[in-house]
Amino acid sequence: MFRRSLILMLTFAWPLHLFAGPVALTNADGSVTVEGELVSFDGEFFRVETAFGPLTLDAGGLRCDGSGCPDPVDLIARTRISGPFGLIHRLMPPLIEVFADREGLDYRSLYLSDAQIVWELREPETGQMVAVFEATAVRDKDVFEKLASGVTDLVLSNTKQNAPVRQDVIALDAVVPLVGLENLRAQVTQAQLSGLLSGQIDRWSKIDGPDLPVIVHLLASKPELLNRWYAGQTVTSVIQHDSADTLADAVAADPAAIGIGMYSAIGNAAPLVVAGTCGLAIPATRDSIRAEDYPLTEPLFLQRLGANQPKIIRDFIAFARSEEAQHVIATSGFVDQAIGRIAFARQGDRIANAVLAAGDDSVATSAVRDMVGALLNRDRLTLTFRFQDGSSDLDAQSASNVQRLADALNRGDFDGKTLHFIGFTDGVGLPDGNLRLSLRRAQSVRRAVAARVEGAPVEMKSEGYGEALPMACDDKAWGRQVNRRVEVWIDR
Amino acid sequence: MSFFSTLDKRRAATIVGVLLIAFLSGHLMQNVLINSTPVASITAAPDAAPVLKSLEERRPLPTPPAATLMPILDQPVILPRRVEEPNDGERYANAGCAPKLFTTKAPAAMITLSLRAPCHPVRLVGIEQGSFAASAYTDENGRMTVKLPALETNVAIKITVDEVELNTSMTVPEAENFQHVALMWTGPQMLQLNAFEFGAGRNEIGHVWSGAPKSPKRASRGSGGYMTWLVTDDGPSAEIYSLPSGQSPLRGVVRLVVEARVTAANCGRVVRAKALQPTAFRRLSETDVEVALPDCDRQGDVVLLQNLLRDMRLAAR
Repeated sequence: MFRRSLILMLTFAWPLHLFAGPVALTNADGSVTVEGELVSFDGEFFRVETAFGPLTLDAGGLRCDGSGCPDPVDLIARTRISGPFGLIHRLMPPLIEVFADREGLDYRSLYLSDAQIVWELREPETGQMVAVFEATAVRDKDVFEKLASGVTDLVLSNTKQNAPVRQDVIALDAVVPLVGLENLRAQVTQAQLSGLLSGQIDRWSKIDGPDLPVIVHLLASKPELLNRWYAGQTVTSVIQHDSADTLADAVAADPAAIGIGMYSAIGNAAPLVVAGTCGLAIPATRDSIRAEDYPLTEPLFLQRLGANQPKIIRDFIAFARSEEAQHVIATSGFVDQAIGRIAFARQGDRIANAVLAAGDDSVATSAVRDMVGALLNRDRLTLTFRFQDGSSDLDAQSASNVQRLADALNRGDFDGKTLHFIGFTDGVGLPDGNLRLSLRRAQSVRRAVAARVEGAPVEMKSEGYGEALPMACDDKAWGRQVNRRVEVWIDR
Repeated sequence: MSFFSTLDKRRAATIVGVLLIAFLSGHLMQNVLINSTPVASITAAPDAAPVLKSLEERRPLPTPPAATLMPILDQPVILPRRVEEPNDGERYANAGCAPKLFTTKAPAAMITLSLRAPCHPVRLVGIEQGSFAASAYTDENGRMTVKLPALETNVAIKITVDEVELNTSMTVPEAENFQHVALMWTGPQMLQLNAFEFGAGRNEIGHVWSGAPKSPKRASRGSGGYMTWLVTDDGPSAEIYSLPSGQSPLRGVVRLVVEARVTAANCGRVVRAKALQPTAFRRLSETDVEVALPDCDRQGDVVLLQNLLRDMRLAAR
């Protein structure tokens, strides 16, 4: 259905205006002029019938002279963006402001309502408007329909699309359990969290807390959240919230509350660490989310249809994905994708877990010894590769990481170093098989990265250590998913 | 019939009277009180040659008191039109009319502005600090004292009373330890800035607004922020919320909500305002606000603008 409407849309959307008349199109420095009859102009591209045949020219930076020229107002690159409130209000303003600064443009932001903001970018000298971003904050989940029907040009979303949509991961977020600050609990076990949410634990006193009823708060927009965490979980009575901010406020104010909120909107509530049955626990932090070690990481996408965007909008999209934008994203409350380093010395917990997990098994112990020996003088990069559930395909965040790492290598960030792609598996299956599987995964990720790197500026090696370094408990699907990974390490 | 004609006469007399008073007072203010251009003397002596002659002479501009006026070095001081004329300026200064501005630093990165403008009683005074603009009135003696937070460490302040402009600049290193948001508008408007500190609910201790502005002392103690407001019906108005962020023991999020009350005067219309708030660079960034208010059958309603100002965050250090 969607595909059909998309095709219809593309058929009818082009050309938006019909023109006829002679035009002369000149580029910014005046070095090239194209003359001909203007066939169409869609606000982004000129199509001109010239002596050399039809030409399609990006309107960005072109001056149009002649009777066939469209109204100058039409030459402004206009783009409409839709997305959830948090992304529109927190992420977009600093991104657009820094982008404008970088392009040497003046910037004006116009607030029309909580759901509508406009940003205007102008040439500082002439005052000529160059680009307009019209943002609409939406609560509903049908934002994607708006993209398909042409109501919006760009979508910020936390849902991956499989349809013919171009999408980039521009920031990260994560689902976190929250309690009020007066609730002194910092950690719950998985079983306890499950009990709290399902109503089996209906009073905090049942898990050594105060004698208060358990009040559950959830996001109305995310009924699938619980399923991702605990398949088949049913929740009896909950308070639903439209936004993660109001959820956090409600939870913060009530010592009896427990809520499932977002890392970007913890507000004045306190995040709970969930410990697995095997005792492994990963708190949600910038590093653990960037490395996707935290299981409920959620990539945020910038989506659009086709490449038919004016140049300045394409530049903005490229900027939002760039390494330069990462510090902007980090200050917005979301998690950025800058490639950080975690020193071996800061991973004591993980290593201790590995040693304990190996136990008396001589094969496992020697695998841990080999691994520690190899990693001792290296740093782990926060960028990690993980796979879709029950599949050898990379998940969305990891697929984005392939390009991100390749970009860093092409920039020369790691010149002269050796990158080690190190595969790990979950504990299901035989140790020997897992060793081979982990090496195969490391090799395939290394090949995917190498295919995008020009020349050979960096030496890249693959290693596999099987199940030697678990990060989460293997008794849950999400725990196994966290454990199946390819890490990237670099010589110090 | 006669009643009506009497009324009409009375009304006419009243109108004439009002107009006359308005004209005279306007005339008085324009030409005597402020301008001090001796219009009367010109009419008394039609051959105004001496006046014209004196205009051609280039006399030095009146020197502002050095202690109070510190011109901003990288920016020429734009002197008011009237003072550009040496003759007028001299007379103006000689009459003791030249306004004087005194600035002193107050606790919690505040600045006290004291204006002495004896020839400008009960006048609207424009107060500008970078892109921030507000106003206040002088009293019947032409005095005005206001406090406002230093929005940046290097503060440039411009005071305008009638058409006289006074510039001053100072360095307030403590400003580094504060974050600010400001809401600005012009004319009578029912806008209100609310800060809900660290999970506080409405009317709780951490709810800071013009009705419960708290004090800069509270900020100095590190227990929360404070509100400054400079509101007039005729000129630019502003509310500023300032939160200590430097070495503060506070941790968490301050939610900022702007309320617009729907009144008979603004219903069905567009409320215009400006907001200043920090962005990734920490400098104050400007947002224009143009909010369409609901129709007049919803008078008394309050429109909440929850996403105009981003939350202020204090991270644990």
